[in-house]
Amino acid sequence: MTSAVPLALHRFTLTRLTPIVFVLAACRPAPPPVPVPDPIAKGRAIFFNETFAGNGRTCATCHRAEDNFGLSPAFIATLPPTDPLFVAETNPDLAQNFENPRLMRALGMILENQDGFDDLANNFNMRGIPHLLALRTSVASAAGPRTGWSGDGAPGDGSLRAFATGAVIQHFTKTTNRIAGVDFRLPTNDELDALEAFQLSLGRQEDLTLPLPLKGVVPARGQELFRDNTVGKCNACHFNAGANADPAIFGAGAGNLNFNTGVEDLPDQPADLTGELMPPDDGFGTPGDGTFNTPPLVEAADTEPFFHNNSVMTIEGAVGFYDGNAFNESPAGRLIAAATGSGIELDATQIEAIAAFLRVINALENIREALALLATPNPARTAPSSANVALALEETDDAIRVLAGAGLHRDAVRELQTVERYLRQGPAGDPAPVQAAVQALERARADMIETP
Amino acid sequence: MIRWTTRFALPLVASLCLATTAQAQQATERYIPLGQSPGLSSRYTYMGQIVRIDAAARTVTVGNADTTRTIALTEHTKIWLDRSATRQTTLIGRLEDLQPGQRIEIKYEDYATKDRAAWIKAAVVR
Repeated sequence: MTSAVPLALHRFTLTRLTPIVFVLAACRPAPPPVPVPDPIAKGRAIFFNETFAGNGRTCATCHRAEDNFGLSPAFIATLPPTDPLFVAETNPDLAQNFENPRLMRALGMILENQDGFDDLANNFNMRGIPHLLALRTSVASAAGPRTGWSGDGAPGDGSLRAFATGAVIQHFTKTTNRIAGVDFRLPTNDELDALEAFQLSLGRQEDLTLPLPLKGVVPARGQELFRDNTVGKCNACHFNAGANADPAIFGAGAGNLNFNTGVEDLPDQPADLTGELMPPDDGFGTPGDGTFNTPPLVEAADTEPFFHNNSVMTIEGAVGFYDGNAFNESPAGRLIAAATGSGIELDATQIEAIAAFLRVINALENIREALALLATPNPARTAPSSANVALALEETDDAIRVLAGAGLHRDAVRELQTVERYLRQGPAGDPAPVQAAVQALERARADMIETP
Repeated sequence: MIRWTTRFALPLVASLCLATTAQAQQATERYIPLGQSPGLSSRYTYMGQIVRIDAAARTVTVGNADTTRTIALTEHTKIWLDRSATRQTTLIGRLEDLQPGQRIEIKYEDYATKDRAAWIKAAVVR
């Protein structure tokens, strides 16, 4: 920032006042340092601990740090019956029309009344729980902020900051009366500021720049297909594998867009097969226009299930969706066909190659995050906190899972398994195993991508 | 390589994107007490007391210390009866439920024109 104070005045101030300052400093004890407010730390404390005088849930009940700030059916299966996630099973006031415990436990679905609370028995949708990573890159659009699966998840001004208020009303209430001051308390402005700061701090802070110098031939081919507007056509809406649209197609600053990709028309969706009531989800707005928000793909491979209704369990299945009738006959699919001369047609090898690319960039992001966690020292020691080590272990485990799940980069997987052994062996605060883990993480990364 | 052309890209943008303008969720908005809507209240909403109701024209005239405005209700305008002061749930209301003297908050459909209400929260204190 450029100072508006003339230079001559600066000189006067420095030459005339400096002795006075020194004299004053010598006469008075130094004042205690003014604590610097840390909204991220405050937001973290609220996110994990604050129940807002509701039913016992916190933000972290559904957005688990150990599960990429989302919640998968596999993770749900590890929770005790007393976990506040299952409040509909333990609180009689919430037994009806608040959750569907069967769909929650089997498919990780949560009940949303985004079209209104007038007919709780019939007017609802069952949706997955999205992760909160890379929000800094994925909320802004030319038409305003896009939050939640359909981009309209927040009350108030529709911003990420306001989202928590809606979440408290929908998910934290003690009864379905939803009376502020009785069933919950609303977040204060300071709390909303802090929660927004914390959420924006999670995960990637910027988009990738493709193409990456990948070493694996299949992931490298997948990247080509991903970016090829005659084959995969993925990069148009997931520019650089993020959540924003390609500015060359949609205009500079288009940002994060909504599309009707036909997910609702997929046949044999697992939730439908259960026989439970699954009203159609009309997406953005009330009544909805059928569109849903574009999620980032870097974080996709380890945050299954996929799509707003958790209808697909594997990243290969999610890529394959775009080869099917539901997509190619959807409004988005038809317009892509009109724009490029054909729909999206992928063979099995191409689907696996694109998925391999997504698996590798996810693993690279896991490694980046793990290295960042291990590089953040505990203020009292020279090593990272045990909480950071635990999260780095989760990231490493995710990287192993997404690579091994498709037989990719076996040498990297071995290095990552070494990382896990190092991080599990040392006492908390011992820097030696952490340093060894960091070196193994860097070797794993070097197995997947050319490094400078 | 086939390139996405402007000829195709523009209709794509128009039909997929511009149709979805900025929109906050109204479902949970209903349960936020009058004057507490995050990012809206005190900035983009109008709060005051009802001066007059014209049922035939479907307008409400509202005044506060600064100004008096007449705002139209459309077929899409939501009316919520905020009973949080008496620790009761918010009800969906109608124009007939509003009364002169009642404290209300209005979100405009279009902040630039300020002539139509997207939603109205009316305080019910008894």
